[in-house]
Amino acid sequence: MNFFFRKSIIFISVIALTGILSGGNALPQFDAYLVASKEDARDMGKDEKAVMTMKLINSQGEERYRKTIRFRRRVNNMDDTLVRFSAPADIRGTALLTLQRSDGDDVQFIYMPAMEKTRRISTQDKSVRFVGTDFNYEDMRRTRLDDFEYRPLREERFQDHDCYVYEAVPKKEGYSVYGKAVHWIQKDIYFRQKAEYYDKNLKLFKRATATKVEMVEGIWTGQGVIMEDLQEKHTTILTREWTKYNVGLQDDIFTVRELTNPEYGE
Amino acid sequence: MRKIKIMTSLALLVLFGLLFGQIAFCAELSQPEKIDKYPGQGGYALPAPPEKRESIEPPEHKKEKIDFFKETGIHGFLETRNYFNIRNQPDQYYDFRNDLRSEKILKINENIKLKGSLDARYYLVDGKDRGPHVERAEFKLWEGYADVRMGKLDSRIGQQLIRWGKSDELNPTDVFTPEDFTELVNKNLRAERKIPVLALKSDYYHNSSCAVEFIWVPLFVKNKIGENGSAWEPYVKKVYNDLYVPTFFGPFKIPLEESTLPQQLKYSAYAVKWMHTLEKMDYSLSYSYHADENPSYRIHLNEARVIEKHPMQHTIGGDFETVIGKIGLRGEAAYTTDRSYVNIDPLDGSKIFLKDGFLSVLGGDYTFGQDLYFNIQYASEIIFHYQDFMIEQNYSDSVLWKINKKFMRDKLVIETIGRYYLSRIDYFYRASLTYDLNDNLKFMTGVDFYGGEYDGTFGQFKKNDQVFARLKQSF
Repeated sequence: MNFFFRKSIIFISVIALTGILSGGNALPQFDAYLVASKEDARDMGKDEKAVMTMKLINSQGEERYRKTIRFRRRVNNMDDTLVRFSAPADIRGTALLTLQRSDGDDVQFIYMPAMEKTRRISTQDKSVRFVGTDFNYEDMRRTRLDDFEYRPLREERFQDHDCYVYEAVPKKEGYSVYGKAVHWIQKDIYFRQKAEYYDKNLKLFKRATATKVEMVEGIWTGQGVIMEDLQEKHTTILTREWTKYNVGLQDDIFTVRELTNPEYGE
Repeated sequence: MRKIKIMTSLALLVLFGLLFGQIAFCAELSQPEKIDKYPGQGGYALPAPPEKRESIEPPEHKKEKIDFFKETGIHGFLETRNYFNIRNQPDQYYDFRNDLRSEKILKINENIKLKGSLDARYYLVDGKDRGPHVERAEFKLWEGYADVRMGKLDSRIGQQLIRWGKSDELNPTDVFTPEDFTELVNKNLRAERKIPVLALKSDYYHNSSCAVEFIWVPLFVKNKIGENGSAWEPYVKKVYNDLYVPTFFGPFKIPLEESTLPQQLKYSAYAVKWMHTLEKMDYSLSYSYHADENPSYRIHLNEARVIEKHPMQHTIGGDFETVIGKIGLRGEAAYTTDRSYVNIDPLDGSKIFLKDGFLSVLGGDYTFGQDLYFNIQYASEIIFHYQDFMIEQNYSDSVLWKINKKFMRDKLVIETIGRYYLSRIDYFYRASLTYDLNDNLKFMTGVDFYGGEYDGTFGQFKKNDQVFARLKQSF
């Protein structure tokens, strides 16, 4: 009897102790996939026209600037974008047209006014930096929700906002240039306030932080993003100078014809 | 004297850098506002809590300083280029060139735009014993045209650059507008060597993936080639320029008569191109009727002179571009009738060989990692109905390359470009370094090597190995 009693006490104690110890690390009670899908489905407008500046800061504090006008539209849940550079002067008029495809094999053209030609370029390597910034092509495009496994990590306050924090790990090697990413999603509006990107060796690589989230024409808009390359100690500050949503962009804009028309939208 | 000129050039370079450093500084004042630093958050400000706002206005009101170039909409560049011949010989040349280009685009309405660009140039070329001392200042219209859009039709009317072909530096289909070879390949890109011509260009876009282009160049403009006695005077021109016939009274020099075609509409160039963009590939098919841009020379013994010729030609061709994985593949080919080839028959040198030729280029590019770029092209030329006594080879092929490695987030680029003929010893290669002093000021330095036979494309310039320095301010 005593033997069974003692055994029961030990068993209950172990269970209780396990419960107490694991209580602090209990998985949070939210569905990370659901949060990710709500963030993905957030209203971004049918289309958008925005002027953006990018300030590039190297480890010595030296600064360089890029200025772009960006046109984006959403078709069949995919984004087509046309980005045209207006500064610096030597790349003024350079334009990049990206037509996103559901199979990930996007079509991309670049127009180089100095060479007076349009060129089709590879989109296979999405780790390539976008004009020397800390954004790569994967950062610039809309990722596919089902390419990742989601795991809730915790709920915490970040920048005065209650956030869901979850981890997204690519399901297959080729689905992402990152080993994994951790996202901070603002609970009330499902806006990504912060993301940390890890390289393939799961070493912290980059950090993106949203700045100044505002409602623009009924759509929550991050007026800026600070992207830090923690390995190279290089930072890019992307700032929206102005934004217009649902402007009724025509199909013609997202064509090679318009790519070579350097004055559009200025 | 030479040292003085070098010192003067260097002083100008420094002055130029200082002057435009100031302009760049002024331009910087109009950049967007800096974000205040805040310790503990990656050095940047914490974002403000969400707030509702109906719209965000363009930031004009934030402007504090006036950026002249932005305000006026005038853009362009100022570039100084210096070349020093490095062959250890008494006739080393020195070449100092400055170009200022200012351009303005005026948007009349959504469908009409005007563009004008002006060039101011100052050249100082000291050919030493090999050529004349040339000091030249020029002020000329570079481009001046109107863009007109009417529904599916885009037209450009006026003096304009026309650039055809998808391959990189050799474009067999791009044969009906001229190039400037007065300093051979000193200018880095083929696009920089193209000369604007008076033309009408119309593109009809049947839909987003199909278009037809029609071009009419009413007046013929020939390629510019190296001037008499200059370091870049082609070998063939030099031979005809220095032609003597024996006479009873001794050798008699036959003058070379440099000329062009009469400015008549019958020498107009016409070109048409069908362009198709598919999901995975772009291609085009083209035809053009035009005069030969390159001069060929014919001896008229009875008139005791050498006459420059530009026979009319037909060119039919095509090009394609695709991407396979990370490799960009491009190809271009053209069949041209009545290309002129040099006749070296001592008994019948008065005739030019007019033969059909087929030129093709196939190449690809690939980027390793972030910064190492490779571009390799294979080019070949076949001459049909080949005859003896033609200076050119029946079949020639060559490899062209462009390899560069970027450092410091593209601020520093180390590059090599070149062309090597496989069918004979003939080559050119350049090693260069480009450094961005700031967003708009670029410095480039490098060395060029030429080699091969005395009559080869590059071999004829093998005495022209040179070092160079370029400084370019864009605005």
